Amino acid sequence: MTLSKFSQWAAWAWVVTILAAYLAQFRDLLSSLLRIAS
Amino acid sequence: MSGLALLFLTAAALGYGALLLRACGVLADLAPRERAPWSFALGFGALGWLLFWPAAAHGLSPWVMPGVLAPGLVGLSLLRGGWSRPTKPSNITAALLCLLAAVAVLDLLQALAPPADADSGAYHFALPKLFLAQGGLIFQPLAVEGAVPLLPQMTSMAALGLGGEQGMTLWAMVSGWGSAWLVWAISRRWLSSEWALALALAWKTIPAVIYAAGTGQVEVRTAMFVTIGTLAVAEATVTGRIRWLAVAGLACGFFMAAKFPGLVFAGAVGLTILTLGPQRLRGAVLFSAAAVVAGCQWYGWNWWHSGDPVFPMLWAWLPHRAEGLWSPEAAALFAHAFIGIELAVPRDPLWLVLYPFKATLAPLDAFEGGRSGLGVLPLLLLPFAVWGGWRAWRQPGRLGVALLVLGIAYAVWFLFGPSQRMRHFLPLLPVLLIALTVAAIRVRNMRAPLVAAFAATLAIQIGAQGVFSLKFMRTIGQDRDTFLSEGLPGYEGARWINGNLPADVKVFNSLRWLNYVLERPYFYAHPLYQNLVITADGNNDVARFWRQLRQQEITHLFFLDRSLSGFPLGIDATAVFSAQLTALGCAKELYRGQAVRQLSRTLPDLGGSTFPISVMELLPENCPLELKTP
Repeated sequence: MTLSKFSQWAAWAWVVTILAAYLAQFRDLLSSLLRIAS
Repeated sequence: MSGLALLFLTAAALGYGALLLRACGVLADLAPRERAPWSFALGFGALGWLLFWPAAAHGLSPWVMPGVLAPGLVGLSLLRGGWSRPTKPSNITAALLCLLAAVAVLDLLQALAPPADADSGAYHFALPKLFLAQGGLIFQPLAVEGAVPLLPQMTSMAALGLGGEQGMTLWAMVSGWGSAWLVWAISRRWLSSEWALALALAWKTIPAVIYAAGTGQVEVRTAMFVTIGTLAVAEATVTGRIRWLAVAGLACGFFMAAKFPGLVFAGAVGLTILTLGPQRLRGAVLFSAAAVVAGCQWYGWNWWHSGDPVFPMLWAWLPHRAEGLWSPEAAALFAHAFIGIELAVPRDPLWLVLYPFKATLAPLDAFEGGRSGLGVLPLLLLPFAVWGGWRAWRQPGRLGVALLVLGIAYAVWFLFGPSQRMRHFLPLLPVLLIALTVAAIRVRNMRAPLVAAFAATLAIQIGAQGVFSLKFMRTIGQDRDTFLSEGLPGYEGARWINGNLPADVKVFNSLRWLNYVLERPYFYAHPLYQNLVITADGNNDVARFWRQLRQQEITHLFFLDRSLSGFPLGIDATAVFSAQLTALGCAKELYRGQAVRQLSRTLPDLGGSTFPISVMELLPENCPLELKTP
């Protein structure tokens, strides 16, 4: 794997990981929203 | 009428700001697209500054506020011309403009609803209403929410006076958009139209901005001062033009006059001028003079009335203080409860670095990260920005200088400030976001993950604003009383007071968010922030409680059960004292009701709890404690 390819994978991994970690703190709110919506 | 008032205020702010920029000799240095947003930011401060003086002199007669605003219209002529013809927007630009318009519509729904934010009801909007009713400023001997700088609240006062309640809420909306306008205009120096619009949209929908922009909260408005202050000192440093330091001084002064953290920011800018600025000593003198003129009126006002310009922080050390307004007992309670609650992690270098990560990803309650956090975008951009920005490290440009100012301000506030709420760092965020984005997009071959980061952030944040706006959508066609009954716990009690008590009463009110809706004179009975009526039951001294009520000429009590007041037992003991007064024949209950505290006002289906509220009349003629009152 070239350095460029590796850095792209790392960038995607960072974005996905941070977004998932950020959204995790709202899981109670999100599940409530889904419950109300359904 | 409210629309006309809004136009008048906006035009006056733009005009005064343009006049100030011209007076500083920098208006022509700005790109045409930047002149109006810079003018609005400076003009917002100028309006607050100008309105202080007639208010302090108790000269708020009906013609005074239009008289203060009208001369600013002269400056509008300075903003004419220089605009380039708009080109046909790209599909991405058009989509982003549609999203901005959708956010603006959601903001408008909030602006058309009655104000129901707790802090705004307690003082941001309650004080302007009080000042208008009294014809001028009334000193409020209250820490945090009374004897503090109140520059933005002066503009709310003008909006309320000229356009009524809706004029004030519409003005909150427009002034909340001022910082987004600045983010777009300034970032266009380095970014394409698409990136600049995306960034402005990302800033405008940050949770803390959604939470605060449409209310009386000041951070979104002081963000304008920080943005132009940092960019002005950066401009002076890079170009050597000392005149920019006058603009930086005005911006810092207006921030100082809006909130105590402005002192920290002014110190950070001053330090930057002394280390990097042009003609360091002359520059520092010019900056300081502008900051003092723009920012010291409220410190003088508070010193004049209390003896402490930063009430009550220097109370213990200053001579000539007004006795009774604060005490060692109040200071101990304040330190124990307020400081203890607001500082959740150690103020050390390790947490200085860790705090942004912790506050973004797993915030503690004290950070208030959920509903008023700073969003995920700064963290998403960080590695891209470090990668793209390290080459510029040896020759920092304007954004490098601006980041130095922000870094100093952040470090000083974190290491020495009294609160770790994320909202307090919000004013630093626009320039940080601009710098991070500009550095991040320099990285080659990273466009896809960067676009994904922006798109995901916008989707989350605009979705959140949509959910937040549900309660305002429900207000369409709803009358004011119904909306406030659903949104403000205990509003029924306030309505009962307004409808049943005569005008010459004075109500002890411990439901702080109801100050604004009370139409009778009230005493703001905060358990921690004031010393005039101490509600702590540490020594269970009901006689002192009674004596202090009588000294404040209080005739009625309006309170809630202490176990639900949000403060630890022993701090708010109004309910205990009231029961004792009733047993002694010193008070009788006139009204008892149930207030509903919803888990979420946005999503009432999530449920909530009810708690009793009570209105009592004091009966001095029957009271054995009255004989002991000197």
